[in-house]
Amino acid sequence: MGTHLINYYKNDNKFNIEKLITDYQPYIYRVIKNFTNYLSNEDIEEIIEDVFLVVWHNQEKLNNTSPIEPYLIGVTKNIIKNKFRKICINENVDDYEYTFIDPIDIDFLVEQKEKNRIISLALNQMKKDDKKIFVLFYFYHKNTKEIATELNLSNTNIKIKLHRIRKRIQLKLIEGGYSYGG
Amino acid sequence: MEDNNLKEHIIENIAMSEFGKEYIMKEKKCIFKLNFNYKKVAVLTFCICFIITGAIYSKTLIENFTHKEVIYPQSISNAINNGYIEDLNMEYIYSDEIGLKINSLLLSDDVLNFELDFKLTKNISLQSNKFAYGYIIYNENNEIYYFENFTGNNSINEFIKENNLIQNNYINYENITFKTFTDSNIVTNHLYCAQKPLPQSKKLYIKVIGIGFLSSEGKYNSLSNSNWTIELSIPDKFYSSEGIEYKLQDETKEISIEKFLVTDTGTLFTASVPTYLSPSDICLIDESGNNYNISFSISYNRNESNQIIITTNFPINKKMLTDKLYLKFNLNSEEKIYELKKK
Repeated sequence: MGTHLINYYKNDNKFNIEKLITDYQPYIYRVIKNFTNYLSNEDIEEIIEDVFLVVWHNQEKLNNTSPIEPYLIGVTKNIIKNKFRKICINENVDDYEYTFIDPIDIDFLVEQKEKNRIISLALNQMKKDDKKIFVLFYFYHKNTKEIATELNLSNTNIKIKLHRIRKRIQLKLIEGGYSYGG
Repeated sequence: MEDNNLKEHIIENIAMSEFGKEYIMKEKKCIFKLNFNYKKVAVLTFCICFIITGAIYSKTLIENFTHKEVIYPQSISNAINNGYIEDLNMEYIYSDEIGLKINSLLLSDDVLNFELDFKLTKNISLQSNKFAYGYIIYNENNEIYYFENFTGNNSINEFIKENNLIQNNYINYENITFKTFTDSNIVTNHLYCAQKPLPQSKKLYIKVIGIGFLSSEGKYNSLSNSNWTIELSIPDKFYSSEGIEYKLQDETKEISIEKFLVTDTGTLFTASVPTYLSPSDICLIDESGNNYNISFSISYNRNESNQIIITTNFPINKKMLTDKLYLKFNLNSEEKIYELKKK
């Protein structure tokens, strides 16, 4: 696979993260393994998840005409470094003939992952269908009519379910120490 | 983890992050990470907290108390103080030695509020349990206002199917406050705020199916599987009340108002906006310069053009209106003020 530019993964200004995950998940795995042998498979999977979360979070800041790989490598490096500050990581720069970009801010990850952990608790207690509705709405950005068609339910039913899903997650976040407000 | 599972996990995480944009969270604890290590728990937490106890479904342990105050948004308390409430003075209806009545009712285009009064003659332990029940509210046209079932069984859903009740998505916000909690008497205040105008009804039915308690582990313990149905005739002052609609003085590409309705108890607002807004990004301003932040929360949806649709409520009612009214938005860190005019 050749190096793609960032705009290859943009359709009408929407970032096609799914395609990016499919294309680059194995590549990032190899990058991590090349950086260090001190990580378990569990840690590696966690880093891969974080990489794509960071890319998604920063999608609007990306330069469309830049190649995607150096950006992914830069993000991966920073996440590994943050994960193990005291571990000396040998970077074989020669393997990568790209220009490393400036490190991006990944500090949001700490807070985001804590919130996601709590939201995940709520989601895991829900029925599979409710979880599917959540993902269809918040990841695929489908409206309630589209979700209703896909799941063969009424639009009203989907709206009610979405309302209750949000409420349950909100309660979990409040229990976890987060209150709703501006 | 397999590749497909990992991809699914990443997608879920992104979905959760997107959800997070809808709700700006105030952290109660400041977390300082000394060592960024996911495996070891190395977090030092400083707690300087003001805990806001909204008593949502009162899931915390409840001690005996009587006549706890219900906190209403300004527009609802103003309406109540001006007589926009009906005290019902009804007798208890009994089933399985448990009595139920409704103490008061308030109904407008955007708010439904009533108090359930339970008289308990059976022996109950209050130290470790939480009062729970299933209930449904519907009108003479079989339109459901709201329903909830804390009993964990299917009784409410079965009732809906058997009676061909029509599900609607009227409610944007709901809250139950326990006003009184003793061995023999429990009073709950139910408050619902709408996201679209509530139907005009001549009769309202409030049905309770099943009463019990939740243990500290969240398990439901039944006190009674019986049911109670109360039929209410809607007073004319509620039935014939009408709201005032507003629109933007000048059209703009950024905001498109679908509904701005000022009622006897508050304001319903639905609009398409260019970006997710937090509660602090939007408020109403009257002619005297008074700011009205949103009453509770913002609901988000998307229309067929994939635009973000927000629905919320403001605590300003018909009696509180001034000649001029303005909407203030914080859009992409830029403050924008739009004048409103009556339709």
